[in-house]
Amino acid sequence: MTGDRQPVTVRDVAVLGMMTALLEASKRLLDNLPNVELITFLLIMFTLFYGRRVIAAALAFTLLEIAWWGVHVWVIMYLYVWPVLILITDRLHRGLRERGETPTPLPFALLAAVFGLLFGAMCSIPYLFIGGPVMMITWWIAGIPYDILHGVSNFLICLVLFKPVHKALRRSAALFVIAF
Amino acid sequence: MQNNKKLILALAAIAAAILVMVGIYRSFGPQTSAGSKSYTLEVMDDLEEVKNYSGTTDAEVLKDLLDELAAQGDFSYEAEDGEYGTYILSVNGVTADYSQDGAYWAIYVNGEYGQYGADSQPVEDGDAFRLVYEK
Repeated sequence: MTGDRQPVTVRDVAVLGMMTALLEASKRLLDNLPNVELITFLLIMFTLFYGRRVIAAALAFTLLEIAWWGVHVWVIMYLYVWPVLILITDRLHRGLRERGETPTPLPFALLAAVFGLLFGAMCSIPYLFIGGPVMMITWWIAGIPYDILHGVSNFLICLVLFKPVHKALRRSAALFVIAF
Repeated sequence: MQNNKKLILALAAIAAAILVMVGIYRSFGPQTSAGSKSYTLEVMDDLEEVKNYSGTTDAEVLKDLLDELAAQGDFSYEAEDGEYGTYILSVNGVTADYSQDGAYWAIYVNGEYGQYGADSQPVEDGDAFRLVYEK
């Protein structure tokens, strides 16, 4: 399922398009709740089944967000934070597979929690270049309450939804196999 | 058993990380103080027309001060809560739409560009705030 060598097919594009649509719909759904989001969870789940090519869906999602909201500083952040999450998830998943283990909710809920807690720190990097280290650190510290909310909500969402969504994706992945 | 141990350790590490973050925020985050504080507020709109306000307030953050001013009637603003705090959309009926033309309402505090959103910007005695329409 994760060869990464085969050429991209029309079916791949269609599946990645569906992923992007789900990411965007979930973002709109929870837009009113600051830093409570399903993107982290969905990207982790997609990566478990479709590997690193999910980065294409994450980038398409970022493009849609730009089309909707315009170009802001967070665009730069989105361009690297989501791919980083996908690469770490893929590495963790490969590690589990090498040991013959199947994915269980808790390790990925922990990953989602850490990602949420570090989200502000990761997103503060552009401010290093905009206003220097003081601005970067000030910006990160001011957002810490949001980061804690982000980490805790990511953990709970992943813990609760992992099993049912994993089951649903396992079924659909059998129908929509993409060339990995 | 070994896995459970690892997971308990991981959970404990995350709880510890949250505690450290709370500590950092309390020590170095935006500091506020209660009490009667004097302030001035200058609003410069898209036509560079200036309107000045001044008074005293018990507001701890700028957003509360703006709400107090709005309740007095001679000032209005609209804002939305984003991922990293309150973002001012319009002041006295002048809307800055970043997605249209790159315009935004900038916050200045005592002559310096504000480091925080309106909901985090502390209000100190004698503060001079400016809300400036910028592109």
